Amino acid sequence: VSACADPRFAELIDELFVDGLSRRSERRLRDHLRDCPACRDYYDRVVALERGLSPSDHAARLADGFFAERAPRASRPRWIAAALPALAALAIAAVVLAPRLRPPGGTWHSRGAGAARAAGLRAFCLEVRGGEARVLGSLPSSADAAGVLACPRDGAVQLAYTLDGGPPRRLTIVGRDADDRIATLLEDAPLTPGAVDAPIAATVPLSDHAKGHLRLYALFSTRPITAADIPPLVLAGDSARLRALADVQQLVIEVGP
Amino acid sequence: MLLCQDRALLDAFRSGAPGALRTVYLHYAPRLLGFLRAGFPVSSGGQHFRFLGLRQAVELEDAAQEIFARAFAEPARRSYDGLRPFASYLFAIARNVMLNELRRHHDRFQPCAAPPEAAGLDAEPEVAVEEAEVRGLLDQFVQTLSVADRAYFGARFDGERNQADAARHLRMTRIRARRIEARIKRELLVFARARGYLANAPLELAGALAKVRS
Repeated sequence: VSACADPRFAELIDELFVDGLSRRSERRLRDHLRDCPACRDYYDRVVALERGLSPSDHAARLADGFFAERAPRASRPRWIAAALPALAALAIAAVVLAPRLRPPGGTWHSRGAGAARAAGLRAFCLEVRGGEARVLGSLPSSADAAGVLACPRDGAVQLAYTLDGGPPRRLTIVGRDADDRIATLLEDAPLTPGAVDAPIAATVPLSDHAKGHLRLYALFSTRPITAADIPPLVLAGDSARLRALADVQQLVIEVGP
Repeated sequence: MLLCQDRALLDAFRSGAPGALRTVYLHYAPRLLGFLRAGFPVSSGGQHFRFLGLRQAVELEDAAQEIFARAFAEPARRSYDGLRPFASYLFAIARNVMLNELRRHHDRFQPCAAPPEAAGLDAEPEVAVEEAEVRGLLDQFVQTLSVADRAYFGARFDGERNQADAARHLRMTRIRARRIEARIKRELLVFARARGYLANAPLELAGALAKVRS
């Protein structure tokens, strides 16, 4: 059996089998496979294992690729497009859930910040079945994107904020997914001082979302900001300018298979 | 028989509803992949051939996507009457797609004296040997699993459940099921390498994956 000549692609093939790849990584792998006989041999063997375990899994993976490649590309990413109107359905679940949206560890605490800067966002991974929603896990935001919240693809993410009793704050949230699609999820919304894990109207269903990391940037500002200015800065990774505008915190959601 | 028996699904499929297209894809993809791997008889210009099948996974997957793209194109959906079995319709498209390859890949077509109806539809021996090798490897691997992992393996793969259903069946969260499954699959790759089924990874798998997930 030949070895894959390029270790990066051998890794991608292994990852594809173990936990799936983002659409972008899978496209990169397939492009490489067309030109590399050694990696094709390796891929054949791994796919034979996948098929041996479950022919349906192989078919489901191909279906994901088939429909993702043919999905119309809207100017607004589909996962965000789905998120905004989806509030009609999932925000109902969020309202019902609100009293139960409590992390196991108690209330949110700002990492490394004094009480005067106690503002943060928390993501709750929800499993929604037949109108019933269950919290599978939660993760607080942080300045350095510490930690990852794993959430299955048939789940949803509900966001909630906590704010101390200090000066009024406003919140803008921008999301960037594994395919580098970027969109504004919440635009310069005023927050209620003293709120603890208060759900915001931005539930994100993950079903149309590519596997991989979905990164959320929460900008807590004391002055109004122009939300349209934020996505280019996020794409450019211009953290200095972002921090000049607001207290920036991040959340990383790992979208599962 | 899926589309022949479900009028609502047929209507949704013909109108191009994404959910219906996905249902049809998932239902027929394993059979189409098997058909393309095993090979099949074809006729062209009065001559009979046996298409020897697609052995490489990338080619197989690309061909399947091409066939589904043709079958799901609006004119094809609209013209499907729901009376003929959809599998036959799909296989007819597959024959046409592969016949287009006849000139470019003549070595994949074996001249056949008998007309297509008389030609066998059994899988090529090479395919059967490969499947038997994988089955044997998986049987040996299962013996190395802990009782708990074997229970997961049984519910998920022997029970032909998807991950969510296996999690429900075992009364565990989906996230826990996902973690268990990822670990079992990593162990399977290591096992397959130790048995010589897979070439050694250029990087240590566990370390590489841990790095990716951290």
